[in-house]
Amino acid sequence: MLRTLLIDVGKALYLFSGLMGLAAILTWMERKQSALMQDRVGANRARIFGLRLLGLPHIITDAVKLLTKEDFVPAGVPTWLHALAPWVTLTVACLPAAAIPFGHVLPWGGQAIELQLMDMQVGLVYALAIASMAIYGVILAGWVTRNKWAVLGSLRAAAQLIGFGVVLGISLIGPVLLYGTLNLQEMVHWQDTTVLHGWLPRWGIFFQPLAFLVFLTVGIAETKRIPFDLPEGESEIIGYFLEYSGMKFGAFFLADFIETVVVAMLTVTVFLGGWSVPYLSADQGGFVWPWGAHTAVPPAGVALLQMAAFWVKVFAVCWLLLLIRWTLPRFRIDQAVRLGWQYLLPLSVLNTFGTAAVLLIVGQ
Amino acid sequence: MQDSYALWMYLPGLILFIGGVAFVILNVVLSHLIHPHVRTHEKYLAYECGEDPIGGAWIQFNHRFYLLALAFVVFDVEVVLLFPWVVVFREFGWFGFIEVLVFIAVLLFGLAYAWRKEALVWDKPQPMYQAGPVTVPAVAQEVRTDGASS
Amino acid sequence: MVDVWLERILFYGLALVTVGSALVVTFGRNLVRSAFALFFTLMGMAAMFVYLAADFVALVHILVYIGGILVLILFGIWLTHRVIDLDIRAGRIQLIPGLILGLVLMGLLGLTIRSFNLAARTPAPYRATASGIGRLLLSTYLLPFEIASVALVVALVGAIVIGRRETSR
Repeated sequence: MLRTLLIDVGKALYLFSGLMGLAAILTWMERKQSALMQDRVGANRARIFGLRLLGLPHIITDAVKLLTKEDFVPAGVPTWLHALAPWVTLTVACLPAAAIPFGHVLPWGGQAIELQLMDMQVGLVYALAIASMAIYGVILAGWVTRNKWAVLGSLRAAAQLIGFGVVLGISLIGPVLLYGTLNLQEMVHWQDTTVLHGWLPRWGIFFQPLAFLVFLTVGIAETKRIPFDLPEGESEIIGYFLEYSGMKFGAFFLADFIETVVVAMLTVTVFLGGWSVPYLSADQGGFVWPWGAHTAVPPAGVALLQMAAFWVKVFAVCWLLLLIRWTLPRFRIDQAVRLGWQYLLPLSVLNTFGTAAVLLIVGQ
Repeated sequence: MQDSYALWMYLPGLILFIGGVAFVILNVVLSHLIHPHVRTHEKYLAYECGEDPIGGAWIQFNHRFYLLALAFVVFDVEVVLLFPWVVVFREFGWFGFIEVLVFIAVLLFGLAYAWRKEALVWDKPQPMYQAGPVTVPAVAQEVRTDGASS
Repeated sequence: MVDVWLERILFYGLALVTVGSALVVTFGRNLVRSAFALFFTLMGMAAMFVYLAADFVALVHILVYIGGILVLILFGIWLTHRVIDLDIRAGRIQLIPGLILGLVLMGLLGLTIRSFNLAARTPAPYRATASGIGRLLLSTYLLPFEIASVALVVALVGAIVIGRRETSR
């Protein structure tokens, strides 16, 4: 009993620190990568004992800065409601990750630990349902601070989140038809093999390229980042978190990056084979290369490789998302609404029925 | 233990939730202990780029926000009803396919109607000026020269 | 034994949150505050579904009611001019009809609950619920399933017609 509880706490801590760590690295990466893309030097002032480390110490200085900044509540705003909004935003941003498998099983003292917080039969619906609650942190922040910009920002955020939330659900129905399950762990198992005589990993992206593109687009819209940053366009309305300072602003800031990481996790799980390592098979006890060779790997090694592969893939998708973020300009609101309702929604419905028809024809 | 199994399954998620809550509370409380507290009147006004705010924040908003939210609810219910079909898709085959196709076709009719009536189209910004060569009125020229000379 | 007590505490905790926030919704003076209290009522109900091992229904409840309908209600309040800070109490105007409706609903629910012999039922083991719902939806309840789409379209078209008239004025 206590052992199970300790394992649960350990897994939750592992996932939480993974989320937070990756989000913190992204705050640095965003600055350094944008600097590289725009031919600038980027963050390089902070140093530890004279070591600049490519600007990595800026993560620590940011945390110290946010902690020591004055955190004031505007006049006439209830303090506890003011504190509730960043709290809701950050917590809700973390929660979808609970259904995402970050590995298969880890052999530990003669027992197999499942590397997933909640092995739900409807894991995908869980992730979507929790993601749909992200809207409340935003609405609360706008409503409670009584600032015109913040109210406008939160209304825009609400319109955008719900508009793209529909497409988020429909775009995933094609892949789910293919896998025949809503369980995220089973989806990864489906992808953990190869096709084309062992050359190509059986990843969802090769069968559902359209759904992948739509999902990635909508995922960016759900994180409210450029090109879909209408709710928080710094240069025009600043954003729904306008009246927040210090660590409360820090929570909104971090939640943005955590959302990016969670979208990357979902993308990896549904389309990029999750924790599966190409050509590595746990049943065969090692790598089975396409040309017939075999490299043995011990079971613990397989588990660790799979856990590492998950984070590598998530990091790669985060990098792609940052690349997109620093390449495109902001959409106008009419463009964003039209994109969601008139192009992405019919497109993903089409993809759903196309996939269903192909599956039925192939299946007969 | 059998009946409580389902509930224990959600415990790790609850732990993650508590972890997230504790993280924010810890940070905000820690920050509250060490950050400076300097009270000035202006700091507590709503921020409007340095101007004093006039009126409340609740002004009339574009009613299209409501139409969008309603369209969302309609299609959200659609997505939710699609998920059970997806799980049993292989059992029902073409029969289920046609059933769901009819279901979606009716909804797509609604979407097409909304599209046709431009209900889901945001108001396009109307240019305030006329295209073509710009002629500056004589009065404006006067004002401008006055301003420049004084 | 500890399990049973934990579950009982959980159940009454959830019931307290659900009913308490529902009371705030009904008797609250500020409309927006009532709407936010409704959030906790709906969350409590979703948690109750999870408690009954109906995870899919709980998630659908969150997705539709919390992610959709409550947002719609909030938008409705926001877009109504100057209603935000008004002191509104619905109870005063519709106390009698509300009471009658509530009692009728309670009686109906009570009859439904009595028609099940709850004591004779052994706790069902946890199993996937989505596929069972899918099977029923595509066979026994096919007609309601298709009619649902018509009802949804009627709501959408109606809102567009009303919304259009406001803009042309």
